[in-house]
Amino acid sequence: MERYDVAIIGAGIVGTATAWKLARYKIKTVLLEALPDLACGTTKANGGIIHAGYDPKTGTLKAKLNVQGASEYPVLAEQLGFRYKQTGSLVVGFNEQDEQYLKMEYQNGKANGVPDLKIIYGEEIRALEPRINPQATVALHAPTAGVLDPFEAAYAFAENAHQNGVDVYFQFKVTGITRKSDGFVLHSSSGNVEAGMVVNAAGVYSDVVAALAGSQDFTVTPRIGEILVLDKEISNPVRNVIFPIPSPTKGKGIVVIPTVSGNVLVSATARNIEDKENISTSREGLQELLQGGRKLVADISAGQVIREFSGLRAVSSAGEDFNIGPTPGIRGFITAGGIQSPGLASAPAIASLIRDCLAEEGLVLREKPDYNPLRKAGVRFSALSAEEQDRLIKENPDYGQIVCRCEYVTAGEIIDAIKTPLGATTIDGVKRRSRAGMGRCQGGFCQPRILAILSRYLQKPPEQIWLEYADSPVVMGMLKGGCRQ
Amino acid sequence: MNMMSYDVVVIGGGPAGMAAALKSKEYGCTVALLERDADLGGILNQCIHPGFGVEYFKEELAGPEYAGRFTDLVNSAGIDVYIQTMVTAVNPERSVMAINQNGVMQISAGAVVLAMGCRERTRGAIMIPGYRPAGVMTAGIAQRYINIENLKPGSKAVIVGSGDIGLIMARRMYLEGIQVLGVYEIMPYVNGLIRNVKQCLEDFAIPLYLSETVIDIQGKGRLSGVVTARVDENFRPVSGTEKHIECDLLLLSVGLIPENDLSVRVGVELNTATQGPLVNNGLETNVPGIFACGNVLHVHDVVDNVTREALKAGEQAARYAKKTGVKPKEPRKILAGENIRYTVPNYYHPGAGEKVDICFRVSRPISDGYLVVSSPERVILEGKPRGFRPGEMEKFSLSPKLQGKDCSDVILSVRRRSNGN
Ligand SMILES: Cc1cc2nc3c(=O)[nH]c(=O)nc-3n(C[C@H](O)[C@H](O)[C@H](O)COP(=O)(O)OP(=O)(O)OC[C@H]3O[C@@H](n4cnc5c(N)ncnc54)[C@H](O)[C@@H]3O)c2cc1C
Ligand SMILES: Cc1cc2nc3c(=O)[nH]c(=O)nc-3n(C[C@H](O)[C@H](O)[C@H](O)COP(=O)(O)OP(=O)(O)OC[C@H]3O[C@@H](n4cnc5c(N)ncnc54)[C@H](O)[C@@H]3O)c2cc1C
Repeated sequence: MERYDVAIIGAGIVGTATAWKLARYKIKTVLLEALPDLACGTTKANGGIIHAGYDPKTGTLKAKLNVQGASEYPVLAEQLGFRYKQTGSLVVGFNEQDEQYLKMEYQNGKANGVPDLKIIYGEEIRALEPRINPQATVALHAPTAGVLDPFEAAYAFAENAHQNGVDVYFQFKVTGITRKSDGFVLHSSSGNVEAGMVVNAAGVYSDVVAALAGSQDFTVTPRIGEILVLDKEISNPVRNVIFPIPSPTKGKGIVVIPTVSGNVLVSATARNIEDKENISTSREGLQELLQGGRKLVADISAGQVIREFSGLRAVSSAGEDFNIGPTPGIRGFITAGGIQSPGLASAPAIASLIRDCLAEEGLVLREKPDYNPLRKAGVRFSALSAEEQDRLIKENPDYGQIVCRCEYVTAGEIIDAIKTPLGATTIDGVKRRSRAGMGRCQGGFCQPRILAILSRYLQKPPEQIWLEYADSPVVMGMLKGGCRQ
Repeated sequence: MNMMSYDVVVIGGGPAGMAAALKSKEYGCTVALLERDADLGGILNQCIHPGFGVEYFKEELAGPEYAGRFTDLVNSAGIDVYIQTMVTAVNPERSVMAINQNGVMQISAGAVVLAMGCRERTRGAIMIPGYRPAGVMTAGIAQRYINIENLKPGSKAVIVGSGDIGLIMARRMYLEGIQVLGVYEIMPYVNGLIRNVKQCLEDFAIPLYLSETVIDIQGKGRLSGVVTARVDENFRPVSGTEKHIECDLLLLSVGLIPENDLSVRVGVELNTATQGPLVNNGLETNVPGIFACGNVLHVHDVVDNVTREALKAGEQAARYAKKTGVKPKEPRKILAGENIRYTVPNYYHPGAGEKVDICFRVSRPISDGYLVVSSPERVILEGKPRGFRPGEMEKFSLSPKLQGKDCSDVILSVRRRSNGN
């Protein structure tokens, strides 16, 4: 059995950021993920906002970690090669009562240490956001807010961790935890690993994983949030993340978000559910999103929607705040519980806090002299100039073959997505790494071609290639009369 | 970067692109035909069923046969064919950017013909709620898996939407031993051709459910089932009519949209009803020297019509490139009136002494109606009473005589004869 100093359970944004943080030390770390790929839990299905941090109540962990995380992302995006766009955000009000609320929010933000906040009015709002509902009279502008593709950030963290020596196991669902004098044994159907310390970053399952180790301190209720993706060409993008005034029952409310790729998201509904596997969308939810979106940007319409999806917020019984730290009575077991929004924005700071907790539990942290903080971003053909494209094709003709007609993704990029360390093994894995299939036809043209490339490079027959989750083949085998060479 | 120049550049090597290229060549132009796939033929290559060419070749051919005949003509005509070459941009000065495995090409063109075909509407576009498992795909993808890749997309299928591809795939899957549980159409009438309902569903006892749709998709990994329901006049599900159906394949045949990315980016104005360009009777868009034909202009159900339209576009493009066209007068409008969803073209140039071929579709089925062609001042013509269906493309020729001396705007309508429908 492999023995590690630290085992991280869950490869969402919290698990991958923690792996990245620990990769710089002379310790042996493993990242264990139940699903076939990185970032397939809540981290693939959220708004992607790096909140500025004015919203969480001053003095909470959320407030501290959000502001810190948001200040780290611009640098990390450079070092680790993921796309991040500092768009700024607006919380939009329509009357005096809203203005009072925004002033309180402004004060809260200042106390949290959020830089450059400003209350703006009328024309100032329209200058920043021409598409805003003309009835908006007042807004809180937070220039440090930004957006990213959350899975891209998770890939970057995990790949950098891996390149610095962290092992990653997929389809390793921890189903049992045995405590020993010098640590833990983590059991799964595909084998066991031993670890001196454990980080529980299992998202909506963090209560289940904690219970496996013997801690019944909290339970997690999934709160489902549905999201719409709007087409690029027909929805001229908004410039800022646009929030409504939050309601006491619906959290942040329905937000209109520009993405790093030029689409618009309308995110998210909020409804507590029981099933931790339920990521369906509903008719009511879709209507609620369109209505909510239109309150902020009037010309949003159903015809612009290219995709709907949903994710689960991890609502902890231990309270609204993040619940991060050692587990009473279980030495060396650190839990990251209740990581709802702004979990993504806070992730780099959550990782630092988890590292500090591990150190306090007795983990010795000495920096590796050969740690490489940099990760190179992959080729993004469509973002290159014609001259650069021409040069690249002459080096490797695979870049001269466009596979995804909507996003102009080339065969070369798809092969890169598969061949990169911790690369894609599924159709959705290729999609999230290369954007092939993310456009308006949603893989209608490229899916068979991507399937063929995956089949060739993974040396597996097409019926063994999955869409995303285990046992989700897109085809069922050969038709009658078929045979393989 | 490779710089080139041609009289006519045709984008897309389906039946539309091939016919347009051949015609331009006949007029003595240098012609480049750019196709992103490895073969010419477009969508026809995966349509292995018969029913193509009945009008044009007076024979019933399979899709690939029809494509093959044109491919042979193209290959022997002296047209420069670039396969596996994707056009990524066109600018209003008719400079065309394309990419293939040799690098980036920049082609300056005397005239451009858009012939990129169409794409299928997807699940996102029609917003079916539920999970997002494997096993939900457009009918066209399933057609590709089965007819080109010899792969089995599932074993128990439900089809949502009654477009032609869905109907054809119902029969195709049946023949491949895939169980087809039914076709669910939200409208009270079929979208595809009547002949396809007969030959693809009725002949194989595949049930067709009108005014019903899929309201939920189940299964997290692979599709495990769907829920269907009847809908009311406003297309809202009627509670109490839900049926759960176990299946592992859901095909969507819910409409085709012209492939209009390039058109939009070059500044071509679209018809909101077709999502294809607005054109005059020379099939020229609002951007001078840029022409459109085939499914990129409006979705056709019969390939012979595509070919005919494309020959015209090829001719007009050649004349533009050779500057032999007569300078036309101010265009007149061709408008969609009562019960007409759209017309192509949308403008005509009066006084050219030519007849103007107009295609149109009705917006809903009318069992007992008649065509009315009018100008703002008078009724020009009334047609014979008959039935009209949105699934069939209608044709009408406006002769120089009918255009009259005043050559005013023309309005097409279909009126009902009685109060029934
Ligand atoms: C609709 C919505 C919108 C949001 N918008 C934003 C936003 O704009 N900005 C923001 O900052 N935050 C946002 N959030 C919150 C943010 O998405 C989460 O805080 C963050 O993704 C949580 O990451 P995580 O790593 O904790 O969880 P996850 O991403 O869920 O990762 C947990 C991982 O653990 C794995 N796992 C579970 N059990 C086991 C086991 N037994 N063994 C092995 N692996 C296991 C899971 O498979 C999963 O991959 C949003 C959330 C939702 C739902
Ligand atoms: C499933 C199905 C069944 C049909 N059945 C019948 C039938 O039974 N009988 C009948 O008569 N008709 C039938 N039709 C109708 C008829 O075949 C089509 O309308 C016709 O093929 C459309 O021709 P097209 O050239 O406009 O488009 P397509 O055939 O789609 O060709 C467009 C071409 O353009 C290429 N292209 C697109 N964008 C670019 C770019 N940027 N750069 C380079 N190349 C590009 C594409 O790869 C494609 O090859 C059917 C159609 C379908 C879809």
